[in-house]
Amino acid sequence: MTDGVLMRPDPMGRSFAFAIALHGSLLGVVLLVNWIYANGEKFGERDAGGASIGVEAVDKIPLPHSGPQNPVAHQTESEAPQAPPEKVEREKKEVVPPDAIKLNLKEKKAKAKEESIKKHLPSFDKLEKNQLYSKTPQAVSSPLFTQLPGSGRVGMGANTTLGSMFAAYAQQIQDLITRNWRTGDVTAQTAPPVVATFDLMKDGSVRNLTIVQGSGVASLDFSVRRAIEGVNFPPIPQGFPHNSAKCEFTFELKK
Amino acid sequence: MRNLSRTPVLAQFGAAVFAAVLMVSAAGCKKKIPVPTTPAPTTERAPTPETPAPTPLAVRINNFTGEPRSIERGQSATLRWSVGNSTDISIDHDLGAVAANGTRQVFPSQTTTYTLTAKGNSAQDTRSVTIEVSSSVPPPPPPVVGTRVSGSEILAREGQDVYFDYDKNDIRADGRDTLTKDAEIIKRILSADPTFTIVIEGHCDERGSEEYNLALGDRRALAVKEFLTQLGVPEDRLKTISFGKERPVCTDENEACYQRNRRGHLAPAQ
Amino acid sequence: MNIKLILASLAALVTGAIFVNGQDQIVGRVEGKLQKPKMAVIDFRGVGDAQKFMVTFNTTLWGELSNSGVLEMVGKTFYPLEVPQQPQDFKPPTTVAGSRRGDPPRIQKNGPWLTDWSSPPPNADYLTFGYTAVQDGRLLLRGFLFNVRQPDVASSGLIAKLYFGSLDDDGAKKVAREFAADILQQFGQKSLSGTKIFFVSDRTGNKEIWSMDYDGSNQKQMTSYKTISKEPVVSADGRTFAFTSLIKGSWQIMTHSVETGKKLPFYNPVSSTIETPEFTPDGKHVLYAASLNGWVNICIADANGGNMNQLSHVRSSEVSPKVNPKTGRDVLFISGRSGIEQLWHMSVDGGDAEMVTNGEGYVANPSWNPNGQTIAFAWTRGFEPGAYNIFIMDLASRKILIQLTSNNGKNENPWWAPDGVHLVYQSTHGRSTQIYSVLADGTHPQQLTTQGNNTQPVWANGIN
Repeated sequence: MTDGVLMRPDPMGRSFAFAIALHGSLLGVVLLVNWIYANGEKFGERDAGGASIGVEAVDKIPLPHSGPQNPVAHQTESEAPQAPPEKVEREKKEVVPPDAIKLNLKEKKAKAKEESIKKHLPSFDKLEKNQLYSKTPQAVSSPLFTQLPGSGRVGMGANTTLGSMFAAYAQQIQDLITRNWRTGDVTAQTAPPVVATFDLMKDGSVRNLTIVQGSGVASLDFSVRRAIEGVNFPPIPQGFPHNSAKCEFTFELKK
Repeated sequence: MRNLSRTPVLAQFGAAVFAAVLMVSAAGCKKKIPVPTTPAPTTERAPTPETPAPTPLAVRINNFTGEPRSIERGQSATLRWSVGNSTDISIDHDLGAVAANGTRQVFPSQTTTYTLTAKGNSAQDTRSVTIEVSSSVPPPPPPVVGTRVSGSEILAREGQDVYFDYDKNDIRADGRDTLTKDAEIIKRILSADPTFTIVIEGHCDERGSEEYNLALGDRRALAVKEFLTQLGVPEDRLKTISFGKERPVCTDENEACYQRNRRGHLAPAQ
Repeated sequence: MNIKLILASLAALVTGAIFVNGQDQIVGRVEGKLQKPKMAVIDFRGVGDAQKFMVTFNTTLWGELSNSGVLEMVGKTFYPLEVPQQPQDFKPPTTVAGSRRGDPPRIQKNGPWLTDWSSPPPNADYLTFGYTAVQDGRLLLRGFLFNVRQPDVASSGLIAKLYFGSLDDDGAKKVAREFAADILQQFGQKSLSGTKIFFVSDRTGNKEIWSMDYDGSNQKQMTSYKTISKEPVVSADGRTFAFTSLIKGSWQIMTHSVETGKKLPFYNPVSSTIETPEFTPDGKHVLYAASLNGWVNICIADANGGNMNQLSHVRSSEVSPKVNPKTGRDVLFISGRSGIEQLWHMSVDGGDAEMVTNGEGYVANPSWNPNGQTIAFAWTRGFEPGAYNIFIMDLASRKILIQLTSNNGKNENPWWAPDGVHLVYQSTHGRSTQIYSVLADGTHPQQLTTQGNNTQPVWANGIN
């Protein structure tokens, strides 16, 4: 009976020791990464992929290795999908009983990070053939890895706490742009997707709006610009750690 | 007389005194004029009109008046008379025979003297009355040389507005005529008062926007100013102002009123 | 809030090195059509004395949100019985084992939850909730806005804020309006609360400049020159208003302080006709129309009139310059260059002039939407001269989006509200001209004035 399960004392000792060891190694990682970043250019492109809200971008950690750099390797890293972290998450879920007391949250996350670090050593096999290759720093825009199921959901990882604080805000941004997108002037019925990026400042103003991937249909690209330019975005909520948020939106024309 | 011869002289004297008294008292009453040879007077008998008795009394005009005594030509006067002891009464100026008492309205075209004649047996009476007739209102005395009529008054009385087509500021042919006359008026004013300043107002009809009409009125005032200066009016005496459609002279929604509002107007500077 | 902070800092500890050094990103996909967002608003209740003012509060809050034109309000009859007042009231349902051996697990409701609001019958997208209390003799509002279609409370929050006001109906209205303004801001919308409409009224016997609140209340005389004063405009910060006035035989621009009403210095050029002033969005320059070489053309000068430059040099009349409020770089204006008054567009330095309307009819009174993309103006197209109607056009495509009025009286001088969704305009019926507000789709017309004739309204931001 469930009572019995609950009454049985949870063996803490082993998990505890493991937790300490893990934290120790993580602390090491944190210090290491800070040292790496402080030394800048040595270890390849900074912000090679940026860090996306909801993207647990530990895959971006350029692990030190001697010898010549393989630039493509880094690029493939940045293109590499975030699927593994999610998979790890799901596996974790299966292990943990549904009514377990959430004592080991830290531990769960730490474990997930460790797994994903291991999985993200450079590997060409993981490349998907139709991925975009570009030197400009941008997060992956493939729907698989940054979108929740359901159309038009903004890329927020399901379990990223920092990301979830701004999940609702990100959804607002996407909805505002969607409502302001007028395609009445575009005669084409379908077209390739248009990708636009911009910096959303803390006060809600827009800077550096760029069409990084055009559709080839001038009126469509123009409509995308106007969709973003014409919105009075609300300011970024308090607690956001930076002065601006890099935004990237893919526009799919469906008439 | 036989009785008198019997009495002595006293009796004769008494009779003479008695006859004298009789004669004196008879002479004292005028009405009774003892005419021994005529029969008793018929005045005591009631008069009978149907039978105009041949009056033995003298003709008498009781009155003959004209009212009013002075008239303007075209107006009338009334003659009034009353005549006694006559049946042959007439008034001249073709009024003809009239009754003994009557009135007549007359329309003399000039001063006329009317004479009434009443005739009787071998006697007549006349009376006249004059009706004075004046022909027109006399003109006022000529102005005294040296008094100034102000330029404002001349401008207000004689200056004419110039009219424009819709949404246009060109001077039309009729406008040229108007402004030519206006230029003369202005020059006349300026010769009497060289410091006089004229403000040319530009106006529009109510259909366009306020903002554009303010600009259009400005153009119209300028067009008038240019035309007047070409005709020799000194430019420094002319100022311009636009009222747009702020000061309409009428508010009907028809072309006649719209045209009246699309105008250039000359006004004295305040 | 505390829990969130702990979690955040924990996450930062684990992954923080990366976040701190990089920039955070929002990545999304835009496709399909979105309906108007559906908003549910609970009936707020108050602790202690605050409860006395809750009717006023709730009415004001509901009114501000529903009048905005950007939300579809979900009627209160559809609301669930259990209503949250703060985020911690939300409790996710849990799965519990069947009550008897062999029974399947069942869902146990533990309190109000997001899906109560996002499912039928309410079917809402957003929930506004919270409560009021008294603190130090003041009315305190705790206001929350949640996106109830998110999977959990942590990712639902858009607004969590405190507001203070006086402990009376005015204070209740104030906090309701401030809260509504913050909510509308989330939908890209500025609230109308605090905005002002400046206009011309002849009710004193002379045309003077007046101001009023966005709903027609508080009508106030702002000038008393006892001549003809008209064509008012207000600076973007709401602090200065300008107009033209017939003073000593010529039309001149005057600027006044909104707060004090006092005249400010403005140097007019020597000209018989100076009109249609307009502030640039940064407030540093003023554009106007003036007759300098025999023709009324567009000019620009410093805010006090100095350093004047003529922008257009044409032998036709040009009036009503209006600067793009979003970019400050381009200008709409009315010009007779083509022979009759049409709408033109040029850059603020006078270059790149081109005609916007197609040559038909007569155009007047252009006005920019704050988004810098949609414009409104008066046009006689389709009717005889003088019969103006109000048109809304997408400037880039030159497409007429809507003809707002249809020849029921003369309809002129449209002006967009700061919220980009409402407009104000004047309408003449018979001999009377009055001012109306309306939504950009033509719905909810409201008459704002009644006394005298009221014209040339402009909708301005309130002073912060």
